[in-house]
Amino acid sequence: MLPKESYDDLITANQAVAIAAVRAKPKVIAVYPISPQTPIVGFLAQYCASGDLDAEYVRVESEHSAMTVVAAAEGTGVRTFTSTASQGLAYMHEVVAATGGMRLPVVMFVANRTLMSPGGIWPEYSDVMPERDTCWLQVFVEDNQEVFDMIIQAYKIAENQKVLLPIMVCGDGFILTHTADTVEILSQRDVDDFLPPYEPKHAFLDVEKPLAQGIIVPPEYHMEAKYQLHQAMRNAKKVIKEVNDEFAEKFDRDYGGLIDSYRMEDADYALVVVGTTVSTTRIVVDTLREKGEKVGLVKLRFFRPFPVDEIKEMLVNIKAIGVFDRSLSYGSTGQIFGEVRNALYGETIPILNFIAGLGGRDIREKDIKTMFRKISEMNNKQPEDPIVFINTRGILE
Amino acid sequence: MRLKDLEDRGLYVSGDSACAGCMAANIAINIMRILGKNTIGSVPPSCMSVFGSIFPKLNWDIPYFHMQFSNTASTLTGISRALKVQGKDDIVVMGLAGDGGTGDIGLQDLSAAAQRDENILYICYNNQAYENTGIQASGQTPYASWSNTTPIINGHIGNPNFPKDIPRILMAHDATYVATVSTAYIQDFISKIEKAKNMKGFRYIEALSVCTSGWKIPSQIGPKLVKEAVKTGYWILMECEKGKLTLNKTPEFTGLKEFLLKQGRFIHIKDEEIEVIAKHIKRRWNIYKSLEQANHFDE
Ligand SMILES: Cc1ncc(C[n+]2csc(CCOP(=O)(O)OP(=O)(O)O)c2C)c(N)n1
Ligand SMILES: [Mg+2]
Repeated sequence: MLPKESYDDLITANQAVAIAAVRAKPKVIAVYPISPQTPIVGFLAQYCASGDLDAEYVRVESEHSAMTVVAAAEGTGVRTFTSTASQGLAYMHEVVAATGGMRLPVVMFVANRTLMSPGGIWPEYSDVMPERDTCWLQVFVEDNQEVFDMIIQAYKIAENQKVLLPIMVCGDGFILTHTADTVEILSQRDVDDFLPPYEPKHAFLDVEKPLAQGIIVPPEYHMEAKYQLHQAMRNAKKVIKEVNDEFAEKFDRDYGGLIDSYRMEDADYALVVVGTTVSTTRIVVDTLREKGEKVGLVKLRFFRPFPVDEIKEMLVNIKAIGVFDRSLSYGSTGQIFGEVRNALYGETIPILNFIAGLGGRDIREKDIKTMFRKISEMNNKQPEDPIVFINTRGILE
Repeated sequence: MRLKDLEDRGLYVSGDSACAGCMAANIAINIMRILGKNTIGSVPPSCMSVFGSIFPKLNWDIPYFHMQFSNTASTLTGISRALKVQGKDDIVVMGLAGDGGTGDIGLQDLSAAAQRDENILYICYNNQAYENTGIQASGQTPYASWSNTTPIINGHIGNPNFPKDIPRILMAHDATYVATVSTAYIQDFISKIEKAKNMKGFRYIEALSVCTSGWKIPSQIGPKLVKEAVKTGYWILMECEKGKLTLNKTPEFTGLKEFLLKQGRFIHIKDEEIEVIAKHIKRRWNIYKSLEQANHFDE
């Protein structure tokens, strides 16, 4: 049995996710094996069998059914959990969209992995990017502690009456899921205090109060429904900050809410980064700072809702900006770059888009240094083509 | 329950936009007269979802969940498991899906739910084609019948394949309850739905459902056709409860040609194709008969 009290353990992100799920007490769980999140599937089965977690564990036959089962259970008024990666997420896609549109506050962990083709099991964000417009909150995490903490926070954000939207917690496959790191597991009592049991106040299936969910909405009513989805997404921005601050106050770990930053106070050059690459970038920022270079990083946490104002405020006085993307919208730019440039509309700050780490290629300190070098060499000029492939054969750096 | 004991008005209420003579609507009405208030329903994309549930008009006076085309069984599973943790095990979780949603795109989760013996009641109204999208052949479309994807041109005879036998597929899963019904045998229909209502575990009922536009028939002859379907052996009335199979009505094996020729979808049919269908009917009956004779295997 897992200890009920708080303890430190050396665990992978997959273990951290499973233990966080135990602490959050979902009542229905449906998960399906796919690398790199597969260990979660087994951990949760064991926690349900051992009595650590009192939940219905449904051994579904596919991810499509995994998402269906948790969405339908959530629609019946209970807290749920699922996780997946890559092809699994793509396979659930139509149900992912239905879940967002039905305002069902499902929490899902996604172990980021490239979406084929070419095939691969290693980290990339091409799995979550296509889900951008399905009305799910999407948050990227940097390390195993943040994975644990965000699963707990995710329920509180998603279930907030002003939000009531599902949320994807996105963590780099293998780099987090298969690497052990020290994680402080919060005590059951602390988590219970922070995250009370789920009591649905909105529409849910109840024979005493018949209501329909998910039915066809004709053009005469459709725009209003979609408008409300957009409003809920907007409301989420405030709720994310409130939940972050309450968490920081209680547990002394402050992730900054929508975005975070490192050594940005007097920075001339900034790199916008997500996921585990933030950690590597921190080290590079320190190294370059020691040499007197005024560099900093912006850690993008939430991709949906996108922190337009926060990004603008953070970057408006920077001389040149680089944006890191671990995925690419072919024929356009990296998805995060597109959003950042959009947030900076009207500004003339030179900006580059670094495509790196695709299919799990290592992102080394020297790659990050190359990125900083490139942005510091821009001389106040917007590039003709903002896209720079990093550490790619045949492409000069 | 006898027919005369049923409430006149059930919780599938009037005012839907089904075609005149649509048997699916008739099936929904009768099911809800039997199941009553303690029911949660789910219908996937199909004619039924379109004629009975377009906001703000809803003909289901019960909690109702609309999901995707392929995942009715998993939807019911999620609802049923959530009710279980809420301590509400007495509620019937009922799905009503077309033959395409059941036997083709939805077969995967149907199979999984049957194998796990989920506590759900899955009803299929089998109109033998994808009718909602405009009459395309499904895995349940009969041999030699016309559809938009099995045309009768250039020597083509219509559908070259035989329909899948979903009840038999589910019997192979050792499903808790598998049955077929025809509204022409209404007492049999009532007792099977009622029995399924009061059972726990995975229950599957398949109803033959006439589609006037897909079958190309006048709107008033549906009830007659589903009676003839049983008489000719074209539709077998069976029930398999916890592995024990009962065949409820022995066909007369007559009148097949007349039965087929009443339907525009078979209007082109030749005698040799009717012969092929007749053989298929006989073969299928013999298979069911032999399965019935194997009931003692448990003992
Ligand atoms: C994934 C997906 N593919 C296709 C469709 C389009 N579609 C909606 S209903 C339908 C046919 C339904 O056939 P059936 O289940 O037999 O029900 P019927 O319309 O005949 O009553 C199709 C193909 C869909 N909604 N979803
Ligand atoms: Mg059909």
